[in-house]
Amino acid sequence: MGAALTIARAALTFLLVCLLVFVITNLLPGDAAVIAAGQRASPERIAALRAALRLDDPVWLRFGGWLSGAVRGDFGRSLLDGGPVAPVLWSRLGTTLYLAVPAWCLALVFGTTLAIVLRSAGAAALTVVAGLPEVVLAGGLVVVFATWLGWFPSVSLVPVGGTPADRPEVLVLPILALALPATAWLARLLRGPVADVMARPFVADAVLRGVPGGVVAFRHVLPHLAPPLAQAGAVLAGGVLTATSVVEAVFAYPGLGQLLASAVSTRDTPVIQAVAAVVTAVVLVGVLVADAVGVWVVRRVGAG
Amino acid sequence: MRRGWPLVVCLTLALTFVFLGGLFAPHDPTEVVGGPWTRDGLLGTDVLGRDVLSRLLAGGSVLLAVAVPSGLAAGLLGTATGLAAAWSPRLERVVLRVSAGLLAVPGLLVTLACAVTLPSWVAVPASMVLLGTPLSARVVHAAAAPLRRAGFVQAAVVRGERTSYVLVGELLPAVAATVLSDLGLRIVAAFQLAVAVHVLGLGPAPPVADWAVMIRENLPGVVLNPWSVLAPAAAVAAVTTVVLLGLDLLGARIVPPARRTARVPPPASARSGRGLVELRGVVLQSDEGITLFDLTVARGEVLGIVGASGSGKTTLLRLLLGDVRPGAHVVGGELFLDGTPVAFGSTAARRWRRRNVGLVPQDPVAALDPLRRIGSSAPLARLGLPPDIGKRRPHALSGGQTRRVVFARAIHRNPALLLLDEPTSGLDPVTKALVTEEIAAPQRSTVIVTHDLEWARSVCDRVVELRSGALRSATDAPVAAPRAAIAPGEVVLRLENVAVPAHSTGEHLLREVSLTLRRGEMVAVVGASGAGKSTLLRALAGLHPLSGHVHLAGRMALLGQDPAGELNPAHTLAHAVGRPLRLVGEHPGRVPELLAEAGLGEQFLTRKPGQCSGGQRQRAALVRALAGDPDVLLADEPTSALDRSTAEVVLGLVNRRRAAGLAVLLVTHDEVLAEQADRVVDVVDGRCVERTRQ
Amino acid sequence: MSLFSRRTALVAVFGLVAAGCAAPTGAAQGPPVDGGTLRYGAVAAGGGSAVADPHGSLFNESDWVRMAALYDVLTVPGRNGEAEPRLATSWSSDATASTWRFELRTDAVFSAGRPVRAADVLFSLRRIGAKAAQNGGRLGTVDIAASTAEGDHTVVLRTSQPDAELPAALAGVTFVVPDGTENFDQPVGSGPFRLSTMDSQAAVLVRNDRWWGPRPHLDRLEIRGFADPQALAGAVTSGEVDVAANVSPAAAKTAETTGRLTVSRRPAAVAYPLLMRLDRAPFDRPEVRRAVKSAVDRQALVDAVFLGYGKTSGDVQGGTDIPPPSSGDAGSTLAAVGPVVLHTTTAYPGMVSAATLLAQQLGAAGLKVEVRQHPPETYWTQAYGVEPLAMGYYTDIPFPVWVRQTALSGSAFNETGWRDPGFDASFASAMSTVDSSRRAAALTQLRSRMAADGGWLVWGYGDGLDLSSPSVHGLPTGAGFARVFLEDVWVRR
Repeated sequence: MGAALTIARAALTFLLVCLLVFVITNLLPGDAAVIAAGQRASPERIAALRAALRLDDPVWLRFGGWLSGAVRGDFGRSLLDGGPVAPVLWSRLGTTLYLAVPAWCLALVFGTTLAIVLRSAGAAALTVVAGLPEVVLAGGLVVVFATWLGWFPSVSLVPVGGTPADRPEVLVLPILALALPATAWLARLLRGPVADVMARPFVADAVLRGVPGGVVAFRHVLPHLAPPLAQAGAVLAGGVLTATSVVEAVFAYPGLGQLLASAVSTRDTPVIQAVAAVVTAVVLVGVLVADAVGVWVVRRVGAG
Repeated sequence: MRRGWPLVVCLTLALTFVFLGGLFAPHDPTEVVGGPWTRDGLLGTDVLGRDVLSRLLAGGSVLLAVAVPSGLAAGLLGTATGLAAAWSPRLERVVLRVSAGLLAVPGLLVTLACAVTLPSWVAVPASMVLLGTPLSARVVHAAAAPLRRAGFVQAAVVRGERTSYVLVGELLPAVAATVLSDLGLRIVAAFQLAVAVHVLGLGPAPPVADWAVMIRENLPGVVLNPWSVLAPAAAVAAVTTVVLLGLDLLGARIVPPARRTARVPPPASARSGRGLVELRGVVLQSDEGITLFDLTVARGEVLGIVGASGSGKTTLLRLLLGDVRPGAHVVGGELFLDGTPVAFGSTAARRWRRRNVGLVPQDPVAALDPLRRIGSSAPLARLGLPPDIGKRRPHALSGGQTRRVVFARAIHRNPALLLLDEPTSGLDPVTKALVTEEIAAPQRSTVIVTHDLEWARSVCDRVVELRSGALRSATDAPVAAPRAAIAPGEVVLRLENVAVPAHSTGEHLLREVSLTLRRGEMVAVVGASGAGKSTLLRALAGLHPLSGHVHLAGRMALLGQDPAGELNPAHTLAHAVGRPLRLVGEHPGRVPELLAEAGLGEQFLTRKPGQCSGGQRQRAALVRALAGDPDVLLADEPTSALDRSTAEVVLGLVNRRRAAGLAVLLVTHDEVLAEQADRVVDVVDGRCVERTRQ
Repeated sequence: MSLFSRRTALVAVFGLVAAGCAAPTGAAQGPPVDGGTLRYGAVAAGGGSAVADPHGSLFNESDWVRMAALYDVLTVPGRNGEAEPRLATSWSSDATASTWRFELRTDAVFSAGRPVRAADVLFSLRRIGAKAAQNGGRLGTVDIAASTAEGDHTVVLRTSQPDAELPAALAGVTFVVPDGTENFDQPVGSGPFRLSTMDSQAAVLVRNDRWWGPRPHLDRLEIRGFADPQALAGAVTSGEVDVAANVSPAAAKTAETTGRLTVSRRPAAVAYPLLMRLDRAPFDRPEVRRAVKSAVDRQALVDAVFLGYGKTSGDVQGGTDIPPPSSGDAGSTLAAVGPVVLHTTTAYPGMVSAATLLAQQLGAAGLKVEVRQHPPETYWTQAYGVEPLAMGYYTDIPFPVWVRQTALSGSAFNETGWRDPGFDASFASAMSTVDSSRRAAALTQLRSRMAADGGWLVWGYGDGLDLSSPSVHGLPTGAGFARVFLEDVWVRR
């Protein structure tokens, strides 16, 4: 019963977010017709395009049309080239997951470890990494690993018709570029909660009983970090997916992020909607899990 | 203020650089001085041949003026929302759902929508608030929600604080570390967002110098003149770093981090020690001064250590384990474990105590990890604990049960050395006898730190006293003070047929409780562990549901059982005690006087709970409970962490207040303390029975 | 352009530092070598999916290159913008240049095996005409309804007005598909290459051995789109692609500095003109326009905006042949004019640079100019052609095509408000002049008049710049769409 209600609420949130995205896209100045018409287009030509693309229909009608297709798995056709969105979406999602999943896992593992291990000594170093503009960080990676050492290519081209698994070496730098700032961010975020848990008497007690530091961290600190960690993990999942816009453009990697960035710049509403729906679904599922973890912990410490 | 000056210097330098840098520029930042991307001048020229250094010096103000307020706005709004959500379950549901929805919207879209529909100085704050506030709210909520039932929060609720104060005055400081680290991230995010918006061409129009615009317009020429990009990028990084470091320093001032134990080099001599553990001429230096320890624990010996509260008993115990408490340093002497010299704080010391030592800490309630089940071990049953206890988590245990569980854990692996820190405080007589029996086990060295000299004499082979920074043989205990004779006044608290349900099951823990409390009276509630004594107090304080009639005439104050959680870790004792005073309209100037009454001198005014011993914390918590001039004091084991002489100081304080009309309802296992009460109520099988005195 | 592609462009540029690794090879060209693969990188501003329909919107340079390799066109642009034979072997018009006969070659076959006939050409032209809104009116003056096919190898095109430059206007854009084709998932063309595999990022083409023309040297052609120009430059520097087409002047300068890549220049490919509205104060006064034109330092602009990869120009579209006006005393006129706003957009980096420098130069001459930036999504409809002073963007499309788009009284979009019935008549008469030298003289006269009286300040033209590995030879150097035809390229590994 409770689970069904929770899922129904999440579904409602999902719909509202999709609607919000639709409205935001419509608020942006310019539309696909203006962009497709190009530089010296007469108003008549733009109007003709707008009519052909059905951009004159009211927002709710177009959203309804999109929604009724989307629930059947049909994400419509791109306004720009008329091709179906779904195949592009799934293939781009697959490519992006090659970056996002490893980056997310690395950030979770190393961010948490750093937060526990480098409590005060490494704090300043973390601060610098978190404070660097991500472009500078990624640029540094390219200079060091592609230019000086020549270990990895500076752009991550995927063989035509192949998958990134055919050239795993192209994944290393983009994954690092995604994972490093995420790790620093997570470590900084968790430093507060770690300090709170470390200050609790049962940790001091375990140290006095001679329990090894690693065991203390794993057995006594980590479980208490679960609620903030789960929250951060959910947000991080969305963050990593969004950050792919940046990293994929830089490394010319054909993923979801580039698809979203180009769809936004060409106001290709069906593509924007489809990508946003995927990202939204990922974040919402993550947040649901995180909330469940939080409730689980609060129940167990008896503060419910 | 000593720790603050680097922060002030850093911020001043950064602000000068950012806002006044333009005054020191060698050229007009918009003037063309040469070809594009040449290396002329200190940092060369930019895309149009303007001087990079001049543009760098002039280019930070707009960015900083937009980013810092935006980050602050998002962080503070999120913190406020998160705290409110942590407090109100109804708001919690709404906040969690709305923030989840907002977080799910791709940030790129929000930023773009704000950037193209609003002027740039509004766009950054607006999108920052939309993107950052839900994140901050969730982070702060996650940190604050578990503190909902912390002792200091509940004490504030019971003394009648407004919700706004509980949120801002108690919860906020306690999660300050989390809030400040989040705030730092928010400002950095705002900085990067402002850079993105400016780079998008939605910031200041050319030819204005701006670091973000500089990065963007010089990108293509980065190889021709790397400084044209690296200099503004480094400037952005430097300013965000200064902001983050500044916030870190601020956070360290609000909640001082626990200092790490200093590692002491291993002793120079290779002489072997005697006995199981030997401290030979160990000199400990700390804020309180210098203490010399010379102590040998022989094999098979039961050694008692007594001393006044704060005399260093717990510190000594840690030294015996090869560990030095935070804030203290060993400046000389040697430690021998099993006859081998071992350095303080070393891995060897940790391994030895892991193998050979069983420990019962002073505050067992806090020492159990609330997320881990008790687990099964043979001594549990021997100590009279219920058979299902292994499956429970600590919150489902009473205070007495917890003490026994921790004791069972200590003797579980049959250690060569058993260290007990106040093992009998809060134990009922039956359990105390069981513990006594266990201590007598052969082939084991036992060190007992206690204030219960009589009991110590009865179980120990040797008792030493720690006084004025040195160990000596124990002197006789003072005779217990006679019961204070105070004439009871009118009724302030009357319970009629009150029933209290258990926390989890809903079955009644206590039934048909009827009790009357008059001004000046002290009533003790006594009973076995887990009988529901503490729950009754919490129910009366309004923190636990109850049915039946409760008539209260006046104010109430609660003194909880868990000394570690009673005081807000972020507040000084002066602040903790001063707050209830202000609440009843009294001048906080009385704080030193009140603390002194409980034996806490001037030096404690500025200390935070982390810098106090367990006994000192308990006394401060009592002073705080009494400071609000309550009519009824609900006290749960008020003297369990105190040695006898300090307990008497405390009791004297309570008695003086009783003479002025305070009624006290206390829960205790300590029969000596119960003797001091006017009446004693036994909790037996869920009912309260008043004991008849001879 | 997206928010992030530009912001993070920095990273890719760091890749250019890699260029310093190897010594220049400088191999002698020698005779062409057959075989091998050319990996060709071009900007795909959309960055998203590749377009399949050759007749709709073609945003991306990478799409143009692929279409030009897959499909044949009637005519291609020659070295100086004149039309050269391709699918059409010869063409002729009537005396007024309003009916054109294109004779098609008889040996062209589609990759599916069927010969290319006039009906296929006519069908393709009709389709392009029907999609005029999407493709920006690519057919120009062709009256497609009145055009016919005569037999299998002759197409007769009628124009809505005399157009002596029709073959040049159509050069490179008339992709011919089999009659009746509406689905382009498995493209069938008669071009020098045919499609092997394709995904949204790249396409692999292989040599079409049935192509009528000289056998292309390349076995394979791999065309890849890059959303970010800096990533494109990084890709060629690190050897991930062999050619980076249309890179920025800074990337070319960088490559020259490090010396490992070949820089090819296609003259006069791009311009960022200053546009003054003739119907809006203060530029409705000719002396103000003249003063503005004489106040700017054209060479300084070319040096700063194109890093010297360009040439100063007289103030009209169509190339650098018209000399710039001699600079005169403009101060007194400009000082009397109140402050003005110069609108520009971030669509092309050079437009902001040029606007900033122009504002500074005019400011030094006494006219206070404030620069205002617009995002590319709104600039072309809200500021360009609307505001009194704005920046424009020219590529090297043929001059008559540009005039019809923007400089006639009847143009749907008139960027400076140049409305002059006399000019319209002279233009129409030039366009009906079949004799090419007389027509060229008439057009030059018109262009001089526009330069003197118009609101265009075309201060200079930048070169089209391609970076390639030294092993690549035979890259196109011609004007306009000539750049997208790659069948003459060869590679020596």
